[in-house]
Amino acid sequence: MIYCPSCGTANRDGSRFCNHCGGDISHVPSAPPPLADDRPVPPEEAALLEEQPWLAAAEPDAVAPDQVAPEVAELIREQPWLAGVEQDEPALAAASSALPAEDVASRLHLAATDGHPGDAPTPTAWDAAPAVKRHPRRPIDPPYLFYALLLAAVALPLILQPLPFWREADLQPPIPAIPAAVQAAFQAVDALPREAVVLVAWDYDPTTAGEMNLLADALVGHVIGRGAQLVVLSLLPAGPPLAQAEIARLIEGTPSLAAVRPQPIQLGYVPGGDIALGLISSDPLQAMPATSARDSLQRRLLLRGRSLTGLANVDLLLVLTADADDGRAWVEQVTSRTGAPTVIGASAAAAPGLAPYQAAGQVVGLVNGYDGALAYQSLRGGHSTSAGACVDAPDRPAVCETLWSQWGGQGVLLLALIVGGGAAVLARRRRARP
Amino acid sequence: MTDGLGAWVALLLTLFIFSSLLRDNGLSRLAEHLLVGTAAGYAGVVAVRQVLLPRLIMPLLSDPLHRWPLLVPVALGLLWLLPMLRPGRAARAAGALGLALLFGVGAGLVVSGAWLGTLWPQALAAARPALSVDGVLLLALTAAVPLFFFVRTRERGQERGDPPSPWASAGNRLLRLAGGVGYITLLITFGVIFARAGVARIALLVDRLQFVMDNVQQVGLFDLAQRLWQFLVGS
Repeated sequence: MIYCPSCGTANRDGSRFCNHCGGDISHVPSAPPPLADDRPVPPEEAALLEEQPWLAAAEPDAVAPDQVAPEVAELIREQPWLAGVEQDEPALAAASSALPAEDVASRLHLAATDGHPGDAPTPTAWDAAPAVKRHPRRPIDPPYLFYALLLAAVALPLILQPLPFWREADLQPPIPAIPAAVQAAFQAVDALPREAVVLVAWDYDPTTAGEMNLLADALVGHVIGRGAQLVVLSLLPAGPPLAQAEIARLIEGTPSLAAVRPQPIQLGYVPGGDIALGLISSDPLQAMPATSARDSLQRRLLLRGRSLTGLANVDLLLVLTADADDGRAWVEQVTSRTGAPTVIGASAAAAPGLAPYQAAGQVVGLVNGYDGALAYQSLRGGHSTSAGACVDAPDRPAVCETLWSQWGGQGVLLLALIVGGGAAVLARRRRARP
Repeated sequence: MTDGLGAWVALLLTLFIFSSLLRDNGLSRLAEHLLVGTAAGYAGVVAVRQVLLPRLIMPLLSDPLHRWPLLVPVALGLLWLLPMLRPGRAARAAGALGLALLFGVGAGLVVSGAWLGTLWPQALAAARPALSVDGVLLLALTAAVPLFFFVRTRERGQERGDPPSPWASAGNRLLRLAGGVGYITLLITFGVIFARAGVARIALLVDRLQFVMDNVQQVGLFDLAQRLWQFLVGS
């Protein structure tokens, strides 16, 4: 039996980490095995021990009553919940087995005396037992070290970038090439006619806006720049206000877009999930509430000689989602039923689940993650590489300011994986040794 | 003033949440509870303002003669409340009618959509480019993954003492090899998914830290620190 020096939990021999607190107990010597008693074992307990034999080694009832330290016995009589079982002799033995007397006394700030403050401790049988050597606490626990490294790697570039020396150094982080899926998405949006109608599904909320806004800026900015009519709806309650704020910020912060004088139509929240998607694909107007926005949409579409009796009249369906399931639902319920050309802007986490649709040609293009947003912005600026968007100082998109932080964070994540994986492999090899 | 107050509140709540990295504490719990509470409140307001009022109540009030079919979902919704009254079995069944309708329609749409939008097109796409190197590789890896589960199930059956299948020995080695390839394919797939999830979360962290730094500047903490520094140094 190995007692954890941090929490006192009994662990089976050979354990390297405590079952309760996860502390390192590889250096802790094994305590002598407890004595057995003659009581019969109940059948259900016997079955349990047969399934999990290591429990037998931790069987607390096996400690002889004379091994209970008097101060522990007294303590548990006063506070029986410490033992977690009834007040009988085996239970006391169980408590003393699980918690060495030194630990109980020190943790509860009780002096191991006969009850008179200031008296010298009474020698007990426990005093003769070898003291458990405590493992020195590490100056910095690994998780905190990881947090600190991650914070430094992400925050330092944000702090240093505005400083003159950084700008003079003109450092450029390594940027991947432009993916074919991003190029396809760009070409689809770039080919939109001036009077195009683009239905935008704004299916992300503030919890993922940090990443998704970069994509929305790139894709929606391009659509607005083409002079298309934006029709925005969301299957999430928090989607519409987010869309409104982000589109307004985008137009306000980009003079070339403000010159177009876009008037996006906000259709708001569409409840119902997949069922609503089925309705949107068959009769979009029916899925929308009879509000002024819907009337406005109808008027504008009529002015352009269009109607919205079916999604076949929509020139492009743009899905912005941070969840692969939402993106899949749009493809299954709308794209596959109507044949509407679809471009998806997805978070990096959702992209692996949506990439097969782009590879199979079911959706026209897929832009994902901050790197996808950067690549798209570069194409908008007429550059052939992803780094191009960050060269032109006046039109630098917001994503350029975060590149070093993104790479720093990913570097720390990679380092943690390598170190953690290496440590796990080494630990396994050490355990495998006889 | 509102912007300044909002910036302070947002900054403090963000820092409260970050503080849970050090240890679970009351401030982080407070921020979590506020988040859950405001999200629930907001969802309730959205349900009333964007669903019940424009889609149900206003149409019913404005044109009840033509809009009376809207009473059907109202009735189904009210039936959901029946179990609260502890009724008999028949009434409970009636209460479940709305739920059954919802699940039935939803399941029908999901299944048909999955077939039309995922299963059939993806199966076709997997088979189409089979003559190219990529296509052959794609097909081989696609087939190897189910084989891994097949091999694993068979091995477990043998461990349990199930009788061996008659053709087990013939392709045993080949099957194990294919299953191993499928296992490695699965590991690589999960690794890619994990890596992309990590990249996404790093992007969110960058955004939050950028937000914190912008707000620190907005609420004037930098100016305050600068003045304090000038006061201490005496320049």
